[in-house]
Amino acid sequence: MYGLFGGILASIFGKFSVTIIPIEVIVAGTLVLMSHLLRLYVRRHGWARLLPPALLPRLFVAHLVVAVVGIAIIAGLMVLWLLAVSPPEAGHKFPAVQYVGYGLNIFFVMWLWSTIYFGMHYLDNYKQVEIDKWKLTAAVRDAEMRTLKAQINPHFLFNGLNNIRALVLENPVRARAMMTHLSDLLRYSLQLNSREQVPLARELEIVAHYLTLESLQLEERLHFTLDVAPATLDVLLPPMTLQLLVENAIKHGIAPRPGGGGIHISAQLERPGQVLITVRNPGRYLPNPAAPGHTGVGLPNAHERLQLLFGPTASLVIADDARQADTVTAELRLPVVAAVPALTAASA
Amino acid sequence: MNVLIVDDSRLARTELRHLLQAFPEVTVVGEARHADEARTQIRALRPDLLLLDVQMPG
Repeated sequence: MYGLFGGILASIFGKFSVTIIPIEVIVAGTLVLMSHLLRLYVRRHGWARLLPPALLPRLFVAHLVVAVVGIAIIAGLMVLWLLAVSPPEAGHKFPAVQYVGYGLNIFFVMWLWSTIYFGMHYLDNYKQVEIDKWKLTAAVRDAEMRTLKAQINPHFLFNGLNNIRALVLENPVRARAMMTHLSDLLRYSLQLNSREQVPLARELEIVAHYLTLESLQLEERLHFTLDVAPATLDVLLPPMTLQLLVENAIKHGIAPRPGGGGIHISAQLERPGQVLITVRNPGRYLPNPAAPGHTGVGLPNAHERLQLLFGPTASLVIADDARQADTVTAELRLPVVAAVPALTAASA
Repeated sequence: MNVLIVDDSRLARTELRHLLQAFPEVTVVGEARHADEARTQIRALRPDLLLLDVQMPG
């Protein structure tokens, strides 16, 4: 492609005379060589990422250098060729103006070459940016959809409503309180989408609603403790994240046990700038169990949302507790200062 | 007809018992909270019909 310009140039000059063809081969060869060298230089210094105000002066200087070096090579080669081919015409001289003409030619051909080269690169980058933008939008939509699907467990809703129906006869006052817990929980999960973040204090209210409703189902089989440091109450997290961990703790840790068990939720400042939230429940950790009702979307989705919002500063690890036998611990680490760089930009 | 209710949730058992009152031919002979209890109850009570929860502990 770069050689093409040399070729075009040569064909324009080729009409002058037959003897000049070797000269034009020299010119074309030099152009090919120089444009390749320029390409190497441009690549090594990442000029393709520069904006026109920074790029144009650089190209101007580069093209001047290429033109000067180009004529020097061409002139040198031509003198050698003339000496070798036509010694009888030793007195033959190319006028200096012709070399200036070659230099200008090279200079303009290099501009043409650069325009096409950088034009293609800008077009490529532009397309790539567009593609990335759409990909991100699609990823956010996808996460939102799955969040909505994962948030309201129909089985939980069904159990809750049936339990409350029985409770209406047994204890109407408590039944009304349970309806309030259920409606608050539903409102919370419907109002929020995957992009937003809530303070831990708000998420804990929801977890309390959730635990109260679950204790209606599990009664004395479920007990729980909360140990939350006041300093952690303002830390931001994607909504329903802690709720998901508690739901999993109940689903896999408490519900399958005839005797039930206890859930321990704790939130502490692990070190300045980082909060550690843990959920402990009895049992053993079985990743991806083929358990009935196991959808397998909750945790990957939580991971994805944490990743999108906080990047590497947040993490979620679930494993058998190293210090306590027959205990599974979920550890959620969150940065105290929350930033939402990419997602607010992509929200349009 | 003798019916045994098997469900880990007390309220669910209460609700089922309540609903079954509408059928005079049905007698709830017992309740079980999980599969082990159900096995014992089935041997002891010989019910005609089991009302089983889908997901239960144990």
